[in-house]
Amino acid sequence: MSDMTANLSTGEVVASTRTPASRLGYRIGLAIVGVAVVLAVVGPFVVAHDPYQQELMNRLAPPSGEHWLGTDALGRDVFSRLVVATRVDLGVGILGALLPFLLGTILGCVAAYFGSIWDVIVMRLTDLVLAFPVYILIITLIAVGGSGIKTLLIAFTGVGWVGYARLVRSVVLRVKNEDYISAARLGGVSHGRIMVRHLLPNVIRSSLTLLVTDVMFVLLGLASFSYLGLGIQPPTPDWGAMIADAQPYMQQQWWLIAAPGAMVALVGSGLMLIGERLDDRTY
Amino acid sequence: MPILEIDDVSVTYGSTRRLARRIGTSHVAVDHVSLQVERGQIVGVVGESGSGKSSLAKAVVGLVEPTSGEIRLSGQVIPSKRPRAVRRRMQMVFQDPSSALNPALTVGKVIVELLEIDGMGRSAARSRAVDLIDMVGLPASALDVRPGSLSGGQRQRASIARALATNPEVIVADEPTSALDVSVQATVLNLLRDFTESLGLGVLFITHDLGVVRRLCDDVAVMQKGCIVEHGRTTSIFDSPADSYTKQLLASIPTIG
Repeated sequence: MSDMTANLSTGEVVASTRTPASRLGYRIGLAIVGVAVVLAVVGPFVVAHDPYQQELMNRLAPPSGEHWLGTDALGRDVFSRLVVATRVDLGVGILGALLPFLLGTILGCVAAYFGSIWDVIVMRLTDLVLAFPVYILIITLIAVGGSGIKTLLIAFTGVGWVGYARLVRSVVLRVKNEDYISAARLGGVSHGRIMVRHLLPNVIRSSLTLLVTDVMFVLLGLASFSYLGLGIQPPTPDWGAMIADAQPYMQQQWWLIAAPGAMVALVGSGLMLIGERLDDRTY
Repeated sequence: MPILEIDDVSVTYGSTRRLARRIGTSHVAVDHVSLQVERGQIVGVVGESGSGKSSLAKAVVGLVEPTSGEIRLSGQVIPSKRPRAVRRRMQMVFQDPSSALNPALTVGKVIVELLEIDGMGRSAARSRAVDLIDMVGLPASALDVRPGSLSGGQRQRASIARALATNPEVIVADEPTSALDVSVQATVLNLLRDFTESLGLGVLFITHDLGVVRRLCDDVAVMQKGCIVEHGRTTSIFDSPADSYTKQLLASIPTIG
């Protein structure tokens, strides 16, 4: 999802960004994402209300001891929905970044290691994807495959692998001519094993950095598409859809829109802060 | 019978198509070279940078494919697509100790991996790795560290242990000491000399250092622009060089006092 060039930072940048402030940012990021992950994992089991339970006599109730963030237009408990949405969005976000990470890492590795025709095929495919505006491509895929989590994951994977493939390819191109790779070949180590044991450990660090920032991009993308009604389908709670549902009540019940909006902003920033720090460490 | 025979081997980089050759986009690095190495013998290949000696080394072990000629190992012709078992009979010791060992893996893991390809069990491989690392004069604890915490000389010893792991008949050493301190060079050279005799290896020793050649090599071949210009016993070439280039090289050895 993300633009590759953003990650190709140079040595001089490293020194200047490695300040106490960046360490503080990293800790804040870790704290935010940590809380979100705990919320996603244990939250749905401990919330007091069923997030799907409608209570039409008690619509649009303001925050109270009973309903911490009030109730929505169908009388559902907003806090419970927000917690369950955290699980849904983080889950899809992580999966939606992990799948392209795996696909892109494998393709980039194969392209660079075997070279010639493999390299040509993979690189032309990345050009093809890069030449399209990302969101148009995703919307097209959704139009073809229908909205829903599965289509979104396919779309994110189909677009997101490109960054990893290009990054991994450039690292493998550098590493594959090292003498220790030649030595492993002479010793009879198979191509597959050389890639997994000798190349990947050198490659994985830089693409992990991209992975963390990518979770954020997928998360934002997911919220946007759900907001447009193209992503996660009701009644499954999701931040984007909650924002869309709350829009008509923005004037009176502002917390309905502020709560999911704040979650998107907080978790997104947290991931970015972590990614920035990892980026410094890699180079 | 020589253990290694290099027969009329050429290496051309770039396109080998006729047109490319005519317009000069291809480059002949090794030009019809023939050499023999006997069991228990160290043959030196000397020459300046760009003389094709490293390309010759790579062609011998199979890292680049020769464009013509053939290589024989104990009399058997080596096919251009080398099967794994054949590849393992020739090993290489590289010039740069910092890139010769994977920085992400411990020395032990690298050696054990090679031993396991022979079908050795994990514990047998481990004890063989301890033997190998002991043979090159390193403590067994060196197996459990990454190359980053070894010195240049120690890394080169570990590289030799790694090269010996496949029980090779031939070792090609591509300037194995040129990145090392003079004091460390001697120990690595002695190690190579010892193994050549005790294991009956044939060693092709690539270097630009004539002092090392004189100390170490039985035979020496002088390369210039991809061709061998002179070849013979080390003593006779040092005492009475015939070729003008060889004379030039010998004259360039700095003398002290």
